[in-house]
Amino acid sequence: MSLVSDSPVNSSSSDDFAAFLDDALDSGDSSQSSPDDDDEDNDKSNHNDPEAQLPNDLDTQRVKRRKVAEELENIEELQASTSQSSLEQTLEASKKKDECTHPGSFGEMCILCGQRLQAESGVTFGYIHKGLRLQNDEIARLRNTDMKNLLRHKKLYLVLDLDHTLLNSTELRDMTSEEEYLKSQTDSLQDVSKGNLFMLNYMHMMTKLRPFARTFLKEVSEMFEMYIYTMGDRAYALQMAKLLDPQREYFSSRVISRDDGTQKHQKGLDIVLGQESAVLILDDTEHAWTKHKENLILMERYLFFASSCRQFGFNCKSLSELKSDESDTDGALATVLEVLKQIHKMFFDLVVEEGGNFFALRIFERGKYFMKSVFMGKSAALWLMKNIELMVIGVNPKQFFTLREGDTAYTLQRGSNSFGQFLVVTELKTGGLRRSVIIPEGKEKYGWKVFGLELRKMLEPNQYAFGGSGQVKFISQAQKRNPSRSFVETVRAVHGSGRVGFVPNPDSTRSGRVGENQTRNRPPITTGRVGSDSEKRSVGSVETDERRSERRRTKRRRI
Amino acid sequence: MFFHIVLERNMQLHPRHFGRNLRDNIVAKLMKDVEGTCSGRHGFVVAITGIENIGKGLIRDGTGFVSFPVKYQCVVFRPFKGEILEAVVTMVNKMGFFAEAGPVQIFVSNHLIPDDMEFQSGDMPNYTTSDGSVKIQKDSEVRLKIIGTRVDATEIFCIGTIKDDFLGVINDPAAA
Repeated sequence: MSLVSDSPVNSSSSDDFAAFLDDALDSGDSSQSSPDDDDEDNDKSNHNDPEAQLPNDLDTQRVKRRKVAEELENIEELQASTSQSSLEQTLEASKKKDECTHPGSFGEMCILCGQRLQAESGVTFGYIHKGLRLQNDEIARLRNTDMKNLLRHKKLYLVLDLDHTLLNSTELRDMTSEEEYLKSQTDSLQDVSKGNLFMLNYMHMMTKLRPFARTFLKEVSEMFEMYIYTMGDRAYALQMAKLLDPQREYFSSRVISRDDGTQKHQKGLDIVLGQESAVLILDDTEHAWTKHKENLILMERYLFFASSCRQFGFNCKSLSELKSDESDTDGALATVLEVLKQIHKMFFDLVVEEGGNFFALRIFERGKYFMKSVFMGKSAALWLMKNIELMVIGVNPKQFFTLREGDTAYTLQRGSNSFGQFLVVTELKTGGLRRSVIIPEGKEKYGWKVFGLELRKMLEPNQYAFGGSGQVKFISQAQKRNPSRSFVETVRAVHGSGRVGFVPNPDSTRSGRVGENQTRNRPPITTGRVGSDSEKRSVGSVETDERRSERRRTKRRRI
Repeated sequence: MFFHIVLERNMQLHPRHFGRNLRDNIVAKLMKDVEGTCSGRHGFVVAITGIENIGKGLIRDGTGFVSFPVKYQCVVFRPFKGEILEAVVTMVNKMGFFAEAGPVQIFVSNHLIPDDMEFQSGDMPNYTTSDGSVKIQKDSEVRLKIIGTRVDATEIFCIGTIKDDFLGVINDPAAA
């Protein structure tokens, strides 16, 4: 409702307000009693009195108004204040309609301007809240912002299937006589956090969690933001989520069921609010994910009950009939956990240390069981940056690059294997010491692209295209004081000495924060921090699309 | 906003309810039928506070049911566009947050949350200012302004905003 404030008389707003109330409550066609009737009929209730007086007030206000209006000789327009207020409302609404893009709707109302939307458009997000819909632009925007957030915590997305992946359910009437013994072994539903085997009488179901499932979820939740995506119906999905996650700490509202999907018999990432390139899927059915096979890690089916075995055409005895189970420590889930850990750990760390004449770039490549690193000086770092960038553009057909810096030689070698192309950066020191890191090409050269961009951002920030400037640059306290600065350095800083490597305070622009206010075209993987101690000036972490090739690898492995 | 108003309704009663307790039966059925329902005009019927009068019954042809016109007082709750409401946050996610004020479900999109509040994921997702002084999470109480309403048969949906002066958290359960 608009409280019109164009009139200097304060009461005019209450006039409109009262008029609106009047309008809203009494304009209907049914035979409801008006507030005046209330007053007549009902003496004992005092609640009605103010209401009943409202119309009287209203009349006097109207008279006042009319006087003013007569002076203005504009009676026609102002005579009925109710119609005027409603007119203003529609005017206001139409104005907003022009501005608002209606990024989404909740209960058929725009989430931005509150307007009623006629046509139902966009993707339904019923699993988050009833009646919520979002447009594609809004989804893209949410994914982008969320990605930054997630990478700050070094997390990725993981979509988990329920049936035959994390658990196995059967209907009670499908149980064979050999499985009857299970009914006496069920765990109580009071404290689900311990049990493995549950009887859900009201759903006529028996559910067995896959061995290791709880540990799996606990460990994975530290590396991934998890979704449940099942072909079961909503009630079933929620019940299973309750069994797996009684505290609601892993999934919260991210439980997607058959009812929420946009396509029949298909699972799609369109209703998962995560950048597709950062989503891993764990499922036992390949054909459910026809559009997202790249993201899929195929699981071995967990078939505990006899009915499930028959469903997939196995005529052998089921695990339940044999009274055995998958191994807790080296079952399928334990194996896949290791794979997930590896995928997740493929983060690169770039560390630049500098002060005065000293400059060192350290590149760390971290895996679960190894950490490789290469150290280089300024000229080598620039050389590496340029060559990687040339390689991304593709103008240089050379396969092998070398550089000598002091007593150290660096080689940059291009190679390829069945998983794609990669770059080997090797550092050769006198005395035969050598260290190397491998930078994979990634999908559409994204691995190299991002690596080059991150390097440039650290080495030559002024040549890096920033968007959305106008924000205050971050200068850490340690750099503000900078006690090690000599007089000469200070003077040079003022006059802007051109020598690279001797700019006394380059850190303010170089610290990791620079990356945070950039435009959309910037790759979605940059996160920055400022080193806690004054020596470690600039730290950025790059996470390449290594995981993509890793994912393919794991797919082929067929865990 | 709450209103105490008088409404009227025709109650159809099966003859088996007739007898000494006829009046009680009508009232009980009325409460069962009316309380907790919504109408676009009056909003949510919170409670029936009294019966004004029960008119003469009329036997329906054919069925034997008798309809009584009943006038009753009740408290109704109806949100208005532009109204300021206090609500309890029920769910926080990256799209914004959902809050409840009694039967009313309110959604506040992150477009309508002040720009200095950022979403923090985790097991307790929340919106926090950069200095961490204000935090919106589940069970927080917020004061918000309604910018759109829609009334269903059983539910009321609202769109709210806290991007305005004097709106936002009024009581933080974490701080208490």
